[in-house]
Amino acid sequence: MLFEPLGGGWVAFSSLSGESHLLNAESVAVVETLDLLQPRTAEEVTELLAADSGIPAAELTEKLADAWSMLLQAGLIREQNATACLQI
Amino acid sequence: MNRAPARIPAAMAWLGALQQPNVVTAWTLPQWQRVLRLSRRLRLLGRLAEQVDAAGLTDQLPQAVAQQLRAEMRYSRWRTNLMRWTVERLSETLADAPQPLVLLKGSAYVGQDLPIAAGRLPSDLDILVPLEHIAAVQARLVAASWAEAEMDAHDQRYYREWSHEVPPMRHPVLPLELDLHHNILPPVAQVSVKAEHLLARLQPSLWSGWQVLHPFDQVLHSAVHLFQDSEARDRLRDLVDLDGLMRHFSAADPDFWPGLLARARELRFSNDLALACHFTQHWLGTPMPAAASAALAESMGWRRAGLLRLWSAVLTPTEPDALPSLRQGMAANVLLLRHHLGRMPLRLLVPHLWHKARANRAKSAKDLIADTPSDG
Amino acid sequence: MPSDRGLLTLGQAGLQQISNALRGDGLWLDVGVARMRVRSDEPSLAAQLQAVYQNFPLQTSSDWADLHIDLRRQSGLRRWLAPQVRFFCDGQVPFDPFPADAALPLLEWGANWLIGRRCNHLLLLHSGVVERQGLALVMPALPGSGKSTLTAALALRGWRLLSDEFGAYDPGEGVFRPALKPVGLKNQSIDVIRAFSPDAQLGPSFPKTRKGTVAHLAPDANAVMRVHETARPGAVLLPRWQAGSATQLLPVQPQMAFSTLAFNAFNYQVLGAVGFEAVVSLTQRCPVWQLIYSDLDDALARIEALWPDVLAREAA
Repeated sequence: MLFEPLGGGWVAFSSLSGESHLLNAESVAVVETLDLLQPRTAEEVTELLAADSGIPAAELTEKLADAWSMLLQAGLIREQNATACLQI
Repeated sequence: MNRAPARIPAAMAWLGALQQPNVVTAWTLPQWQRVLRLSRRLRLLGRLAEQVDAAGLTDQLPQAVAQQLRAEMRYSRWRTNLMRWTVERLSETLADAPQPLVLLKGSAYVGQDLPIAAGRLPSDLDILVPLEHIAAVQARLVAASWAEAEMDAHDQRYYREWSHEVPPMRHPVLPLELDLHHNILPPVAQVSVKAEHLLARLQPSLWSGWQVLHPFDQVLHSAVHLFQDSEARDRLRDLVDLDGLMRHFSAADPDFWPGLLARARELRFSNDLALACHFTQHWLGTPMPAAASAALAESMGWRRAGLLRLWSAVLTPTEPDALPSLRQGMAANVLLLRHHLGRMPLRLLVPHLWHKARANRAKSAKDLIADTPSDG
Repeated sequence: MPSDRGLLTLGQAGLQQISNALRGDGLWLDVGVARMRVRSDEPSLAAQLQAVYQNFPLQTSSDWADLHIDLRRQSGLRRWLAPQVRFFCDGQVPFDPFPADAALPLLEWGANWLIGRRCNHLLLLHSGVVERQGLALVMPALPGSGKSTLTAALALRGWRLLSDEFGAYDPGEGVFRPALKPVGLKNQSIDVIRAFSPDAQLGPSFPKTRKGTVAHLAPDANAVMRVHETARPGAVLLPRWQAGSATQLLPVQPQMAFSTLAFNAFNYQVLGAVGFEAVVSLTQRCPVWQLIYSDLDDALARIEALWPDVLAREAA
């Protein structure tokens, strides 16, 4: 998984899918919260980000909904027994 | 005990590098040039590149050679990775399937991480599902955005009535075509096998949720595919795959050879296995017990000499600067006829061939017009 | 005039010499990213090659070529009714035949296809590339961009031509490599360039190809001599020809630049992580502008004016 800051956002590459993507702030936040050693559920990620950013969890869940499915389809994150785990 | 094979024809000697890559360090530039051109056409360049690379030899080679090897490795790894990713996406779609999901051919080799998984150029994904579950599986695929390739009434009928596959499916995002099989040979063909026989002996692969055919059946499928089915340009590659399968599986199983021959008899594929073993032994040096060799040769009977001559002419690759020989052309036509007659009755054959030729021409015209190159 | 090393060029050689080479072992053409070996039994090809490769050295033997191309006249009854020529490479025929009098376009497109398919040790942008003072100006091909016209014009005004088709970026060295083939001009571009530079070494026109009328500008002696000389990334220009518009240079945002280059490359996906890093690097190193223009001379003047800043920025 390769990430580079570019302009106002990020560009990312997944060696799993071979795809490249431009990421918005929400997606980057999700990816940064996950790591290989600690699989987390979507709820856990939302809670962490809510604590970090001060945005209420309910509002965040809505913002992040799109990001999850996009990241999964792009191979930037991967499910492991229903928790998402950053794929290296 | 294994008997040393007869000497390998000089023109085939380069194939030895696929098993013993060290020999390439002695190759001159003209030798390399010939091998690169031949192996590229035969779709073996990726395999050669991976073997040379695994032996740590690439950097020692002339730059122009190393460049071609590295370039082809990149291309092959990209395509193989696409295949893995497609299987992963399919796993999502077909998870909790009640029926077995079986990887076939190249996807099976990659799914077992066999030595012959390296350097491949997959353009499609072959999987097998029992006939009674095909409709359900297709429905799930369609729900996940897979669509049947567009085809006219003739092709649709071909697939539905005569074939062992359903029409290939495509996905808007995933670039590989999905070929869904319910058998390894067409049911209408003279040479066929009941799918239940194969399904009864499935083995797990390295990918959870996916199975592969029993090693004997993988070898037999490959042999039957080569001598009944495959595109002209892939035949030597198929032979190399067969050699690889036999070496790998026989190393793991002391009873491999008697078991393989028994299975071939059971499924009535002895003829194709005999042809396969003849050429892998004589051109690639596959180690084989003398008894097995003799039994197979005998099983071919009176047709043996003639068939070997024909196949030898067809399988021998044309040298890079030469045009295919007349003899090779005639032999190819005889075999092609045999192949098609074996697959379908004559009344269906003629419209089918005309149709296929027309589709191929249309495709190549499209390729040249497009601005960006596409893989042939 | 003989080339520096005293070798004959195709332009100086006799037509018979070229023809004999094509019918024999072949004619070798080194375009930088690939050494091509061309054989053919089509009589018209010799003169066509002489025109568009006129500044290339005449090379009739070698122990190496990266591409082995054979253009064969179709045999059989068609030979007289509607003669055709087929493109062979290592015994394979990837395309439909062309009319026999359009052998050169078939050779050029076919060779480009092979380069695009094979040269995966490089990132191949679909771009024109010229060089000045060691830095590359890269012009990605977009619909309506007129990149070939612009590339040809720059090459005729003292910029060194690297390629009109391939921005061949070496990710290991971080430089562009020449893929020096005749510049393919289509339809009105041919007249535009003829008007722009009446002395331009243009080859024959081929009407009624699948892309309209096609003609080729021969790479000049300087470009041919420096066919293995690389160029560091300088700037990226996304050209857009727009009737009647004044010349404008509009900066392009990095994320947009990244997408454009990634989509533009022939083999971006094939290169995987290497391709990703290469495009990131190019986007970070090079200023990227959109160039909107209608007047070719004015556009060139604007580019010339731009270059000192590009040089200064790169040096910093």
